[in-house]
Amino acid sequence: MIRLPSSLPVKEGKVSSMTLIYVVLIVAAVFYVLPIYTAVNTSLKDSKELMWGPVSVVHKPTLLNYVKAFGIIKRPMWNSVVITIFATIFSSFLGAVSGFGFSKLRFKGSDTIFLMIVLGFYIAPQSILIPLVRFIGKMGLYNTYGGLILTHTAYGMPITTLLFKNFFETLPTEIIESAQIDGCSNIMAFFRIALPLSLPGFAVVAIFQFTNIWNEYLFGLILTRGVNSQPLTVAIANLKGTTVASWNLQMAGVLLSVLPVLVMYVLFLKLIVKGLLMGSVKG
Amino acid sequence: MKRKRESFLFISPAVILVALFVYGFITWTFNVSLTNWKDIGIYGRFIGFRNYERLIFQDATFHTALINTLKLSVMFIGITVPLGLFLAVLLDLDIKGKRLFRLLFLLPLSFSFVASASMWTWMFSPEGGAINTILKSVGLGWLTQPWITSESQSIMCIAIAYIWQFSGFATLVYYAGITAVPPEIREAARIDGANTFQLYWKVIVPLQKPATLTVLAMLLMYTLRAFDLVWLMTGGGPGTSSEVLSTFMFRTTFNRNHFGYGAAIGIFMFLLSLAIIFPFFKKLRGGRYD
Amino acid sequence: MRSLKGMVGVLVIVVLVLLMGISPSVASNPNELVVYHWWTAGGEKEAVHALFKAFLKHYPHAKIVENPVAGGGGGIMRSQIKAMIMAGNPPDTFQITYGKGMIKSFASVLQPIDSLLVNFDVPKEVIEWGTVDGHMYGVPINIMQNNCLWYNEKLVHKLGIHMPIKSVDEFLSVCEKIRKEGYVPLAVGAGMGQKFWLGTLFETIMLAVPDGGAKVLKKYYAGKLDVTKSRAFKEALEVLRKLVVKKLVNSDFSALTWDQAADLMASGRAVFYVMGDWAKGHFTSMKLKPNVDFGYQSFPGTEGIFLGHSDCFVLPKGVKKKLAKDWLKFLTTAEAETAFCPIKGATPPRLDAPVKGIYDSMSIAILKKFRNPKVVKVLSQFGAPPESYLDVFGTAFSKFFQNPVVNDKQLNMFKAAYEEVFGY
Repeated sequence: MIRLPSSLPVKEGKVSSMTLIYVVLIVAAVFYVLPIYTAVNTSLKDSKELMWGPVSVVHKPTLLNYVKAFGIIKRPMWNSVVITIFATIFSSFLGAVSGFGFSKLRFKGSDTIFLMIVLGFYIAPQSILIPLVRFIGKMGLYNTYGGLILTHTAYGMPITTLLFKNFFETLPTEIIESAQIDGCSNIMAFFRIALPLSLPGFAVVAIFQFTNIWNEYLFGLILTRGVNSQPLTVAIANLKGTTVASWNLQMAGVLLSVLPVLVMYVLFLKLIVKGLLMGSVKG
Repeated sequence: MKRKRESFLFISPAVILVALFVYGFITWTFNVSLTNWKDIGIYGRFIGFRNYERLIFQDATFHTALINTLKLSVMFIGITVPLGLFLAVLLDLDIKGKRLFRLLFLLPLSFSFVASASMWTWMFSPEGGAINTILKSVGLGWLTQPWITSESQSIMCIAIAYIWQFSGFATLVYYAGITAVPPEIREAARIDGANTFQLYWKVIVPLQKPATLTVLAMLLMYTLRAFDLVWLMTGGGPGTSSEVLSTFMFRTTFNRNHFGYGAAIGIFMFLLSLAIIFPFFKKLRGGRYD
Repeated sequence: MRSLKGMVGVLVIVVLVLLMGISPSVASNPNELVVYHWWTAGGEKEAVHALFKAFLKHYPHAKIVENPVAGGGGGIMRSQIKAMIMAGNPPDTFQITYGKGMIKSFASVLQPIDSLLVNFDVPKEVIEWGTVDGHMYGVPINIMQNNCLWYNEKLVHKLGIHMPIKSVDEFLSVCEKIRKEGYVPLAVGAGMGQKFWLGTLFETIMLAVPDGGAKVLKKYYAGKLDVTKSRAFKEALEVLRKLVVKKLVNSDFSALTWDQAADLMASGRAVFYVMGDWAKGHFTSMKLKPNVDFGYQSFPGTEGIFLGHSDCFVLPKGVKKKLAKDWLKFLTTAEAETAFCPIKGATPPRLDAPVKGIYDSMSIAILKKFRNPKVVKVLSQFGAPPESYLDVFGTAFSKFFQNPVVNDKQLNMFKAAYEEVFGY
């Protein structure tokens, strides 16, 4: 079967509507990029220039802040990379497993249990902060990567389960059933059929989880101690100071911290596209 | 029987983790909310539901926080959903630089709250801020607003910051949904004589119901428990004009040391989420989509 | 196929277990001192590191695990400490602002340290400031003056203003003159969640108004003032009202942080600025020169008063380490103060701490005021009232600034706030 491109060109000849679309996209792009100007601008200033405020353009740009910031945040950045990658993989994978269960292996009451799990997504972290710290401490996981990974995995379960359940809903049950006729158990059906087909969904889930965990502050603050285990968000918050105000250093740190995430996005986006192309081959 | 056991096996990771980390812990919080625990180290005594009484019937700041949370949610969701869908449609069209735009729309997601809060405060500052400065420099000085320093506009500024930060998710989910529409359906529409606008409006967009549900579920999470941007941009101010439930709870618990009362706020927030999500998710029960 | 899956599963578990142990453990090591503070960047970081270095000279086998946490003027760190204490995992020592009210908020989880304060030669007020129910719980390491008026020297000369200004009324009329010339008279910054800086402005003014002064402020922070009836309180609110209504402060004060307001003055867009004396460090970090670019005086009408503010370290309950007690003992020495205060830009608490050649002239002026027995010393909002004062009154003052009217409704609002902090 010939595969048709999934996106079709806009009607040729309608130059004005094409231009309009580009204009809209550029306006949107400006909206998304403009605030970042203040951060970039500030990151290039030396301490003296800070007094003119974040909007006034820097006169003598310097890259010194980046060098200084990197020296301070490189260990926390590594901590964040480890914690985020593992927590993302675990919560995504476990979410796929649970989502599959809730979607294809229903039983009486499973929908209610599902609802209760989804509800867990809406819990405010501040309201369970103290019992969480107690528990992690008692498990001997305080101030370890494991503590944060476990915490983020657990709190990621509701959304990953939800997203995967939704995703598997769109997968026709016939595919599973026909595999079972061929002698596959549910477990094998999951690993061999459902999971590979869920790659685009997996990528969306992974981007969502990666972002949330990478940018998370409160748990990272409370469950770690010192620069060897604290995540990047905590280190960046500290760059500005309390009785001093080194905005330039902090903004440099912020912009440095964006890079690993962007790299992840590019990778995951490729995965989405690949998965979608795979998925469009049917029959 | 075997099927049920297998089901249990599959859903057990989610069930076990959520049972402990969510329901187990929230029970502790609930117990605390029934006491008058005030000040570290001096645990309170049982006072029943008096914290809740005071909260619901007597606390003006709580009412403000509740209304602000709802205002923020409506503004945020009301704009982000259509925006995400719209941008996803535009990205689906065959335009140059699609990859770049896609990445740009995801860019804000990669910034931590510390950054966004600072950047948007610098945008919304009435004197030295970017927005007013730009307006003045292009001769639109009459459009300048007090923005974040105004009691009436502060929550709107925060909503805009949230829209900036998270609309990328909406775009992403819709984009995945739109590109997953099988080419046969597009072909069929074309054959039926639909032009591009009709193709999207009548065929592709209506198919995004599942994506919309997903987007709403995600976005509701951000607004119902919105904390970081509000705390960092205004701290609930000026006055209490941008106070939301989670900042109110954090402040009560950790700045004012009313642990019992703060716990009650936390429980209320959880119940509020339940009340909002429940009817919404009734749709997912037995979920086959048409 | 099955065995492959099994292998993958085992690998995952192994990795998991490895990860758990990969990070530094939390086992209580008697040679490690876990310290929490909020001096995370720049000059403040240098100062606390100098302090650590001086300490480690005496205890070379020791190691300091420091946990700097910025945010909320120390509020974020205090939140974290509370969570950890309630989870049964306190650090060995942590920083809080020194003062009866603040310490009392934590006293039930702290150990008294009276025995460590032998030969602690500080003014008696300093001891009185930090005594809770007859005991001392914290060692103050620095003293800062909060009732400071900073001004842009060049603007002051340009506008023909005679410094020092002697009274609040004179100050207000000078401000009105400045406004007519097109500059911001008084820069204020209480934005990005830090509403409590409005309280700093308020308490300074309350010292300066006719019926105000140190005694009234003390009573106020002790919870013994009736704010609806107090003349001093109303007069101070009146001054704030005038500042807002006559546009004598920058209109964007609720969007600016304290340092951005300081920058307004530093860059010549505003003339005056009220802030504690760490503002000096901020100005010098931007290469501004004391008495050339920026000037200092005690706030008009508060010449004979030192509104103090201090940081201390405490000893949580359950900490048995000798090293923690050694640390606190070290903090009482002149050596510690001299290692820390000059870099921090603060005044050492000890009366016998050396001065010559160590502090610049502006710091010495402040230090002399502190050591002068005739100057009345009173503690500021960061230490004297209970911890909740900062947040409750920060919000109350913020509301007042949005609606600057001195009437019964507003006074009742303040009264409710006062009761929330001191009462029930």
